[in-house]
Amino acid sequence: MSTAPAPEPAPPVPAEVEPQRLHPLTPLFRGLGVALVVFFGILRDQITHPDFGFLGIAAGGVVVVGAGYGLGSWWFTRYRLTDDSLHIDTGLVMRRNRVLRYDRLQAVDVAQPLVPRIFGMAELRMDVAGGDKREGRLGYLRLPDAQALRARLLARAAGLHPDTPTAPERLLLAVPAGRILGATMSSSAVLGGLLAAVVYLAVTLKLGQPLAALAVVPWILGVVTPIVRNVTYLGQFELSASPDGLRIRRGLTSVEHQTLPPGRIQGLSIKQPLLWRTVGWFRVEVDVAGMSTKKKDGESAAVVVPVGTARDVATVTRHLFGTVDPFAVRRHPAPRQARWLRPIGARYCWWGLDDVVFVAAQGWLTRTISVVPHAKTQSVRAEQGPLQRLLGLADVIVDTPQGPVRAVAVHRDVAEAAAMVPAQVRRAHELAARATGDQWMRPAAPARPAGSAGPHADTGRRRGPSNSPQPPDIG
Amino acid sequence: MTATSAEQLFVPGDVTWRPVESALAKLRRTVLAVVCAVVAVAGGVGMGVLLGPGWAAIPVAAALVAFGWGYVLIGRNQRSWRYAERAEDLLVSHGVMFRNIVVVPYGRMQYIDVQAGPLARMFDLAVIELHTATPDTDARIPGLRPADAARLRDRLAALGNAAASGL
Repeated sequence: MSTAPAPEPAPPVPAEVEPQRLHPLTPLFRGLGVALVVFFGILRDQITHPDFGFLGIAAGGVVVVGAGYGLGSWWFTRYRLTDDSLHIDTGLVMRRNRVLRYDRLQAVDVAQPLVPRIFGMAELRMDVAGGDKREGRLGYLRLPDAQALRARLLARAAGLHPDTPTAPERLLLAVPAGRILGATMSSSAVLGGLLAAVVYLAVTLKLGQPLAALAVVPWILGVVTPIVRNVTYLGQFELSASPDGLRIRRGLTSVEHQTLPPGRIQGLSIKQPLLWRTVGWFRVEVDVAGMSTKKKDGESAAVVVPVGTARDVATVTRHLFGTVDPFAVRRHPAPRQARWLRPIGARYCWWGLDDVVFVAAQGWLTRTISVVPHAKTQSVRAEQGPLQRLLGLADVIVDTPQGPVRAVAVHRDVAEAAAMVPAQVRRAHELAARATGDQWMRPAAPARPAGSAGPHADTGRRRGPSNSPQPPDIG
Repeated sequence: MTATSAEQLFVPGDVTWRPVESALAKLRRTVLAVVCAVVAVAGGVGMGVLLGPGWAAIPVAAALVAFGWGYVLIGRNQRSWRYAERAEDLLVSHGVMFRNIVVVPYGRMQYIDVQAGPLARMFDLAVIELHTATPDTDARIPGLRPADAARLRDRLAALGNAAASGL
């Protein structure tokens, strides 16, 4: 019935079944860590009575054993790409074969820890649905090889020809290391620590105990070390948009990438501590389903804007939800009775909504604004304690999957709350029926011939919840 | 006006509500009675031995007061539990001092648990719990007959499948 010309047959997909080895320098990075640990252990024993002969032999032995372990594990590690999965064989003593199916791949990223980065090497990290992040690691390859392998895996996962180049990225915002330093320095922990150090120094010098003042040095180190760690972890932070999702690049010395697939972002939390209000900085975190947002070095793994201006925040929300500005929604402030329960904070409690998202704000020491797409609402609740009952108030809570986002409209008038709950339920139902969830990998349009479409963007892959009408997919 | 608005919020009138079994109150009152008895006996004996027979009356009196007060509260709380199955979602409302209502769309239900501890089984009761992707969703209904709980679970599971939308 179709009058369109029949598509040309796609070129045959090469069967890449020959096993490949990783780069020969890999043992240097793998064995090095173990060797150093052992060597320093021996060194610590010997530090009081150094026996250089023994140390020399020990050093030599450690190098040999470390190199042997590294070489052995490298020799026996191989990977190959079959039609539907990536096979990784590892193991020197205990052989292990790991199979990663393409259709379970959520994200593939290239990471460069410090030492391999100096040599131009990189590690491939794969995020598999329902798997531990540590399972999907392939290291080390030359950086261009790692990027090429990533492109092949992504193409396979999307059901496209393996030679399809990676989707182009569009830079949304960049956070220079200087701003991260400034933000970390202005955190209350750091300022408190420095203040205490200054006070201690002043007191000891006044009392004429200059030697005791030296104790301030490890204290300052204790304050400075987390700052340095934070800055090197976040480093030159960049957030880009691609059809694969939001891509985060972070790290000053070790470079890491992270991909947040579009359909999995459940909600957004915008925070502003007291001190940042003077400078106009915000921090944005997202809830990502299917990923553990465990803390690492004090930073959650789902931070999309560690320190940003209001314009950065608007860029992110516009990209994710199509909303222009969560600060600009029509606000419903808390009723006057709420001041009995929150004398200062009641002014900062409000809620608002537009076609796509529900917004709730609270907090005055740290202003928090939670943005939740209606389509991702899990359940809607209302709660009322005895004090609230006396004042005729109730809380309305829009639940999303576990994460930093908590969308609570605190201390609303009960009549208003009684209207809000069914309204939100209705909105959630309407929009959930329209959104398509996590089918971001499947092309919305029928697959085009491989020759014409270049980057992934052209195959019309969906980008998750958005305001534009979606083609009807599920009944 | 405020009282009826609160009622409208926590017990919307346009819905068919089902109560839970009064046996739930009996179960909880039994547990309360046992605990109060233990406290009364242990406290009474302890005080009587340490301070003198007259003092034994204090823990006994305290236990009696606690039992009386708890008796009334348990009754009120059990009567406040109610649930309703609508076309697309489930409502559960409970609480006297701390009131609570939760609306769970069927499509968001991840799994459903029916549980019954040994005491609950003695009173022929079970608890049904609905889980969504949010751990905070507190959609549990205690005090159902096991047959009713099983029927509700099967109905919810079927409705959940039909309405299933991705996360």
